Amino acid sequence: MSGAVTAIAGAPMVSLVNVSRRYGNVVACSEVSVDIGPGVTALLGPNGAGKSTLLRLCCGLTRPSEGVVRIHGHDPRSERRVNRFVSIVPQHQRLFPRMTALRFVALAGTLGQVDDPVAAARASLTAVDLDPEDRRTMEHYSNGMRQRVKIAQALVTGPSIIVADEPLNGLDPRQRSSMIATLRGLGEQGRAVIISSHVLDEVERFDSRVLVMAQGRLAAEGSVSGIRDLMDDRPHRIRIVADHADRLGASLLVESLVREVILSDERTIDVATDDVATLARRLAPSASRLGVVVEEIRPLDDDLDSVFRYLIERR
Amino acid sequence: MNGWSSFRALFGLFVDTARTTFRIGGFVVAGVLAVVVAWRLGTQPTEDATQRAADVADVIGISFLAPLASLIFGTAMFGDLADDDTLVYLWLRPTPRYLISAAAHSAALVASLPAVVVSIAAVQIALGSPLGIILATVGATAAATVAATSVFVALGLITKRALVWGIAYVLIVEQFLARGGSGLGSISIRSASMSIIAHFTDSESAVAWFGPWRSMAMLIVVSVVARAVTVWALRHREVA
Repeated sequence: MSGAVTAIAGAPMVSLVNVSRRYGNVVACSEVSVDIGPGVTALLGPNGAGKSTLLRLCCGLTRPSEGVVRIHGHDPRSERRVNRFVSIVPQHQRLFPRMTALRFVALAGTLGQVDDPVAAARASLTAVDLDPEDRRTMEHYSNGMRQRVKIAQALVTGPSIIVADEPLNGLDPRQRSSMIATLRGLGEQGRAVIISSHVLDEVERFDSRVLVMAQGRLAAEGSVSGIRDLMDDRPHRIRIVADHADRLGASLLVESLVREVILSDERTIDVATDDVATLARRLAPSASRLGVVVEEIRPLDDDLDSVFRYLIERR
Repeated sequence: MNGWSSFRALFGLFVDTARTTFRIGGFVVAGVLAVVVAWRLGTQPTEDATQRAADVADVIGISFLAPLASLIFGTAMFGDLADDDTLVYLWLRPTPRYLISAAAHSAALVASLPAVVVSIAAVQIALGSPLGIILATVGATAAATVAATSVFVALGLITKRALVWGIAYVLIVEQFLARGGSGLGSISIRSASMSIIAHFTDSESAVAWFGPWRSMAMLIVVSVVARAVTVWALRHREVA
């Protein structure tokens, strides 16, 4: 094809500058600015945080309401040939049901202008542990197999940027390990691999840069260990059920073990503390000294959603 | 060379997409019914066999079989891919949009045109029409099918629930506006096609407003515009 597009020297592989995307009154993505380079970058956030919208913006499937998106320095919406740099692994499991995997991946190779699409398709399918000679059509494939076919069609053109929306969905533990190794390997080869997930433990295994998204905004950026520190440093809320919860709550306040006590009813208090370890160590002796019987201790926010909320409120 | 490979691959995909048992079976049933009705009509005495052949071409061919096949297969091309979000696998490739459009329109025609041509030829044969009438009605119906298929391929890309929009289009434009004289009728595929039949069979039609060359030009313009709309929509649409 004539007029082949080339990467602009020095330009980030993917660049978003003040990018927002609205659907009517709903702001799916708000004022996001980030450069993405080689290696695995994980978008982490709860469902509805705007991860999928951001991924779609990154590869030009959606145009920004405001701001600028560039792939290797080019506008993916107006310069179609930029698509040769990008492949996507969509979140949905739908494929062309009456095609074989080999035909589907070869189609991707043909459209991606690969020299020998069938040979490339065989190599891609083999790389994701699928049999290129499998004559079954994809309607007979399990979710795990479909997921791997989606990865294979993304790899077949040898893209420099791979965008994968929840790539570990539908995979069993062994397949997850294999997929993580594959995507990490692609990142180590110098490709930009952008994945999304709402599970921190999952992201941790990619050993990636993490972009935390919440309510459409980029809430934090860093390594997984940095996100872990945020989880430990933020105030924790804990529910305590006891026969004299009010007396116990007052005592915890006096001892400065908690910063806040909310009396839900006679037997239940919700406390906020910055130091969970000390509270855990001294709660039982305090209750014993007061003659209070503690029946239940339960963290109210020991999940990623609470971290996202904290990050948003802190900004 | 690469463009041709892409076209062939896309064409095969679109043909596979449209070719479902339900769609093919549905059209076969409609075609057989049309032939049975024509055969029954053919056994009835008439004073003007030519006019009857033209009327049957209008009611069964241009107003029923052509829009039905075009609607079924035309809207399926992009409609199916957009509905199940698989359009992304074509869209996010450096493939020229005109190639995707050309493959979709060609595949739709490969499905709809033979179905309509065979059906309308069988209808006219069952009716006992002479060869000249058969050729005129088949030719005009084929031209109508090409134009209608183009419209419905574009409609499948630019609208959700394209079947509903397509039926609305047929009822409003082809059945109602087509009767509105040479002004409103100039946007009707049926009007243009019946004008061709009326000219070549020397018959009359309530929607034949134009000469044969203008009618042909209208059908060509409709097809070209629909293809251009398809390419434009492929360039500008957002893909899930």
